Amino acid sequence: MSFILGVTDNTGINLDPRTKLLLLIIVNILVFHSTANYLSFLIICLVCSLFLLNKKYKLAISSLVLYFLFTLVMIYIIPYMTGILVYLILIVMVTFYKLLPIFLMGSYFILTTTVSEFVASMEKIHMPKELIIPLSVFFRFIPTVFEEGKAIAEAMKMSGLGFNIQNIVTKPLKMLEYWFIPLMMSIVKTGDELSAAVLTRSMDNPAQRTNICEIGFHLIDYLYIAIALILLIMGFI
Amino acid sequence: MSRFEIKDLINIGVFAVLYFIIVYAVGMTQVIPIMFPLSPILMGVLGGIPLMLFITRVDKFGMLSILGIIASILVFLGGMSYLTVITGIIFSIIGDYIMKLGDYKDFSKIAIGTGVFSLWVFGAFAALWLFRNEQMEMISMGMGPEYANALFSYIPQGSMILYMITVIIAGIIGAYVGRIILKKHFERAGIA
Repeated sequence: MSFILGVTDNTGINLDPRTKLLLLIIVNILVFHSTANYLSFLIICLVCSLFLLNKKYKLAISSLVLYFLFTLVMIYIIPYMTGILVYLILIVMVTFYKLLPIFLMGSYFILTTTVSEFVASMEKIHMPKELIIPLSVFFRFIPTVFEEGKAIAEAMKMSGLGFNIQNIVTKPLKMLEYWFIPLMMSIVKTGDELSAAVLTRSMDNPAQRTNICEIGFHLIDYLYIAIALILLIMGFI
Repeated sequence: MSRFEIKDLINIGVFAVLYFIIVYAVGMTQVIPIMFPLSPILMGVLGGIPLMLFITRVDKFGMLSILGIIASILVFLGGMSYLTVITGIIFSIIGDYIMKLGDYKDFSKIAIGTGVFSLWVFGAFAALWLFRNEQMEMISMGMGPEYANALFSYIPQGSMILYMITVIIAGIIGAYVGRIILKKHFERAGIA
């Protein structure tokens, strides 16, 4: 799960965010409520084709390889394992295996959608403003958090608390406290400044806001919606 | 704007970031398979730190609910079950309501509210109980159906309730941890 929305390079053909959202919901329903086994393979193929459309060849190949590796482990290794501890691992493995299509679909959504596209589409489906503003603040702050986090980690190195495996394993709580508390202070202060800045740009104006992003349904969107609906029908026959 | 000022909404966004860092950090530990069922508990304990600071800035009903709903939407977009959004809406509103009863000042109600609020992520882990047939098949294939039946009698469907209670307790512990941190660092710095 990478949450750096907006640093994407949108080469190739991109779907409308609303189509992606619909696909994500349909994949979700299929994984949880359908018993047909071949469906997960079809969903993986669908996600791969989406990655290919966006010219993300590496991701397409690696998700296929990951799926086949998981399948091989499931068929050839898991049935021969015994013991109660293995049983616990087994539960988690089966769950992961079943959820893999959703993970891939979600990472497609995150990797190929910019923040303004996301906000524009949320406004089009009439999401309440109370959700849209915090969400856009969230995405605005993620790069800041990475910068601040890096700076604080640098400072921690001076007091002998560098970010390495040894420190994380031996004193995780101390690491968390010394990293997270300064980060909280800095982010909260920046947030106060932001709310002042946003007011000067009249964010509390009740009028309809404009957006530079052009989003809309194209032929490819209808095609994928049709495929997804066919899959949905197949899953419940 | 309806009932929230723009300042409230920005505060929600800022604390959603801080809360999500915890969620993300705990999520990273899931590379060890056994951490997968334990992660909501860890999330409850550590999530108390940003939540307690957030509560000091809350004075209207609904702010905590929006934080929970946003967190669940983000988890859904990152590839989790749609059930997460449903549990996110239900439990964050209940948790918010419990805190509202104490007017966001009464610490015992805040602690219980935080515990209930921690359940928002439960939908993502309900899969552990939903995929029982598949898990049963796998074990039956290797060990025979009697063994599988015997194993599943040890882990009944009702263990879900026990698990939920554990998460609530973890959230309450988290509230106390958060208050200690708040007293130690933020009140002295004049932020809280």
